[in-house]
Amino acid sequence: MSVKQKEIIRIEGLSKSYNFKTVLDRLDLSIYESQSIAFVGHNGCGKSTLLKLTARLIRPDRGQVVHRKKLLFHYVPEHFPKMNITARQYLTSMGLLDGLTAAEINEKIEELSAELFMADMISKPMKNLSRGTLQKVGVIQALLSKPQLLLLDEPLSGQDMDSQAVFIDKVNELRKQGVTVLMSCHEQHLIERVSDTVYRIENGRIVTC
Amino acid sequence: MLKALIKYRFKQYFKTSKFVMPLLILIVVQFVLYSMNPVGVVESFVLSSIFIFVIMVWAGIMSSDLEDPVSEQIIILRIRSEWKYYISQVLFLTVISAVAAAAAIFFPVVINIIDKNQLFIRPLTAADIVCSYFLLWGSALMGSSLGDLFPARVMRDRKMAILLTVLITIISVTKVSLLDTLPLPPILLCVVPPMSEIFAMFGLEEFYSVWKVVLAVIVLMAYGWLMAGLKIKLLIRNKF
Repeated sequence: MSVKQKEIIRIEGLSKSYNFKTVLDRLDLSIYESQSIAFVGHNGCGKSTLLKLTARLIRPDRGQVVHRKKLLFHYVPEHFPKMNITARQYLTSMGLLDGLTAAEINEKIEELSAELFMADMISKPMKNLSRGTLQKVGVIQALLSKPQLLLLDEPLSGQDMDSQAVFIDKVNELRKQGVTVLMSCHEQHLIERVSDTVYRIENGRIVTC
Repeated sequence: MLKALIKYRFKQYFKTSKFVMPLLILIVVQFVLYSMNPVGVVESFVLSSIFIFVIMVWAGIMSSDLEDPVSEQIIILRIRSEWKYYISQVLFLTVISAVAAAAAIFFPVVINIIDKNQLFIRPLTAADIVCSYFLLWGSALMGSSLGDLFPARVMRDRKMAILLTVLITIISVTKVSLLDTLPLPPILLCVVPPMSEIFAMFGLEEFYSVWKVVLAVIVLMAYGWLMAGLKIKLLIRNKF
């Protein structure tokens, strides 16, 4: 990592345990602006926990996560929840929270849903969508506007190959615009095409790959 | 942003059938309460306040179970503020309570008009309607805040959370009588929502005293928002 790049997050001595099992053990890490990091490792090794700790969604047992400024995260979770409202209603609400106008939101929804091959599903209640389609809704909500950090937790789970390719292009477009990407992932092709830094989490510690 | 959040909550709430049963029960209670005439103005509206408190506890429980933790995380990150997210829930419940209070006042006013002013033992005035509306609103808000006090992130055991809420609801409605008959610690007076005191305060009075109404509404609203504040503190402390 170039020394000229600006550190936006510093992780200091971070530890987290669940049910007396230490998942993360005294981690130290700096995250820089525009960096794209992939965290890899076995299921349950603490990748998702590290992403959530980085965004301060969960509280560490020890250590701290320092944000150098107030950061805007967009988050693609591993399992997007089912809801009673339609995908369009949900995405419209997220767009409004992003401060987009109704016209901008509609345009974005049409564009992204067509590109991710779910235009015909957009007006269906989310409770009736398949896991893969729900995951696409999770991706679209994160791509509606430009965040400072994109948090991707197994973003391609259940998605078809064509949608995966579109997703990779979209993430790389955001990277070119300076968006920092933090990703938990198993897919080697995604890691190779999206990430510039890969860390393996083993026995609660970070190992550079 | 808060407006967009509240609109989102309305969409979520009204796309489920969770509001249907509390609404139906509210209508049935109003029908039963005003099926006999004539009734006392203050007495009937204070009784209606107690019913709306209990019904809104139910609506609050339904509302607190509505949001999935993952969608909460997405929104909190998106708006960069836990406080704003949780405040939007408080405002949502405040608006829902205002609507429920309006429904509870609408029913007797319409029956009274249809009955040519025969529903109550004396003519219903505009001041009666205003005072009753605020009493109903305060009671509804306190009820919905109580129902929303123990979401899954505050109390994981949902059965225990519901049992505790029901217990607090019963004590808050009956505590004046309970304290008279059982050697309960007086601290109950402060900790449990003061629904029973509201009933005791107005009793069988024929007319509203404006100052009593103002005091009661302040106490009801303050209790509601205090409970909401306590829940927010716990949610922020517990994280996800």
